[in-house]
Amino acid sequence: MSAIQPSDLLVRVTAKPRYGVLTRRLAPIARGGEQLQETFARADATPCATLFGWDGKLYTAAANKPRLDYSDGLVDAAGNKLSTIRFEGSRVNVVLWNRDLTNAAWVKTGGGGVTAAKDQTGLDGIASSCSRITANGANGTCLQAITLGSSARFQSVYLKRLVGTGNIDMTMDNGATWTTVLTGAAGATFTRVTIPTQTLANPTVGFRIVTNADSVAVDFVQNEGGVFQSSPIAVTTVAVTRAADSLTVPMPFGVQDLTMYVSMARPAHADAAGTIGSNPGIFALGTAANQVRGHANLGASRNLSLYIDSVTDCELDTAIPAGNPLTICWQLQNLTTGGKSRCDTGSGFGAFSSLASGFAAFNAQTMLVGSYAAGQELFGGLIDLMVVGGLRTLAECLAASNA
Amino acid sequence: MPLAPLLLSDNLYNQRLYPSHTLVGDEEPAGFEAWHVATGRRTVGDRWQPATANAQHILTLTCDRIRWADTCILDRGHNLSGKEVVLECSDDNFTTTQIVADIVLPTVTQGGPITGAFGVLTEEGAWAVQFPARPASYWRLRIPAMGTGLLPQIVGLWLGLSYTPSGGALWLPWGEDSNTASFAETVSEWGWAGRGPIATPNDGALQIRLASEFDYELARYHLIEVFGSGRPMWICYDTAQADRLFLALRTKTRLGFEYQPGWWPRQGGLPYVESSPLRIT
Repeated sequence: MSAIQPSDLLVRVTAKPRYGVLTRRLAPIARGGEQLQETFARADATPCATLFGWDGKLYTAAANKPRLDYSDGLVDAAGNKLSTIRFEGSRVNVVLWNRDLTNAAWVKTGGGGVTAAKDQTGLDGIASSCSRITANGANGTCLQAITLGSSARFQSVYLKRLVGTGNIDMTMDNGATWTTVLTGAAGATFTRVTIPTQTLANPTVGFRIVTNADSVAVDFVQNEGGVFQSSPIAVTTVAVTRAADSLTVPMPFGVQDLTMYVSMARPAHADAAGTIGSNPGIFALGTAANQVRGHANLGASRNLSLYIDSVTDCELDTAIPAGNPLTICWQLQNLTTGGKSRCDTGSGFGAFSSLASGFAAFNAQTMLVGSYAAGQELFGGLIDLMVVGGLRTLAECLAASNA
Repeated sequence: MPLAPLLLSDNLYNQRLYPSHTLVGDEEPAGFEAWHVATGRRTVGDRWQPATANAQHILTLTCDRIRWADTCILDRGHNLSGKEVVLECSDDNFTTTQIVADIVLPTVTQGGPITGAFGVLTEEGAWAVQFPARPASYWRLRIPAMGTGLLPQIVGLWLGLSYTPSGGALWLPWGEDSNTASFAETVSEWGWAGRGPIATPNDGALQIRLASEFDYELARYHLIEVFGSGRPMWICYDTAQADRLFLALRTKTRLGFEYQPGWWPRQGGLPYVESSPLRIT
């Protein structure tokens, strides 16, 4: 097979600066060059979706604006920072005043007691935008009680040691379980730490500073539904909901032999424990039945799946490989007679899947990126997505992606 | 040592190239509206100039979608040498703001890289800076108060994604200072020549050989579609010596990337002539 040519590329959505926009563009607007562009939606009531910029600081994106995010710490072959297009489902952060631990919502009298001050430079690089807590005695605690129905919860926080070396512990069950999240000496940067998911009602979340006079900077305490973390959400007086990201592009081609190449940052759910509760979608050709979709798998074993949704469905599962970023090459053969597929994630193609049947045509000329349906979002960062005509290898796709 | 050229035809401020973009100056007195910065005209009479002296002024660009940029150029005629200029971008219309470049512009021309901490002031007075490519939906140029009685004047402003030819080099023969003289001349019967004033705009043809058909995707956009349609393009023959950056227009002659003997897949010849050279007495 010869190298992939530009004429073989059917759709490309990329976080690389190559085209100056997210979808492949070959001519100016006046010459019709941006007709195949993305439609993006995220219906935040007020801007709350965050991204890490090129400079490492945290910024906010307006509603219905995609997020090109540098939080994954990836670089290209030349050492340039790589951004990703961030796709996440809706999440609610229920921790009030999650940057300001001086607020009365935080009870700081447990153990030896804790003193809070809002005097630290936060993830956004703004002075006095986040808090410092200091133990007044051994095992001082700082806790917030939350009224909430029972659900699987995941808790995270950005911490930076200021003083001491004693353990910093975190809880979401009012101290019935303390998990040490920070040890060691003072550091210069924030680290996001998490504790294992718990299913419970009315969580009481917070911190315990084991050693008297130890002090840490705290930013973006987050307790959200699920078994893995999503991007930080700032909260003050009431819980804040970040809406789901949705990106679609026109899909002006029909059923044929296809290759889908995906490069993406390793998502948090790839290594999460427990049941994810959704199938984090990477893309979908078409929107429902008679649809081909790529997604991660919600099961206990973490797989990447290519699913042919037709009269007789067909699913090909491939274990998520180690490493970051992930590169995936799915071949989709003979769609007009049903469709079967195989996958290469860097160690060669496996066997073709069994044949689907009854696939006549994609049910819509729309491609979803970063999900395959509402509630099935990627919760991760996409670097590059190409749909190529014909059956192509991972090496050929990599060459075209890096051209 | 190989040269590292940079070509900039893209301009997010250009509302003919990007009809859905909006460009707003915090003050736009009649005759000095914000849109003047992207007309491509190089006369100082065609400029954006706010009304209130010694105050911060902001020129805000709202894009129709996320757009990348890696180069900003202020054309000659600005009065910002020695003054602070801040290029910022945002994804929430500046509720939170990313600082792309915060620079006190140099006051003198000195050979240097376009990626330098202060950018570079070209020989004719334009200022250019290249930065790591950034994506954003909102961009703005912020000029802090310049001093008593002073107002910013911006004749031309480019912000966009630059293009570096395949392989990072222009093919020879080519030179950034090559030019053709233009003048009126009368020769007497004795063979004595009488000449009018001489203009020597840079001109030539950029010779570019592509390494793959994928290279043509970008060459087509930046050089054939944007520059080829008559829009001016900044030519920097070597990003390490960006002080000799100049603005060029295509000529009436043939321009394209064609399949030709001796090279696969395509090679291009892009004739150009310097746009409105600086008149030097």
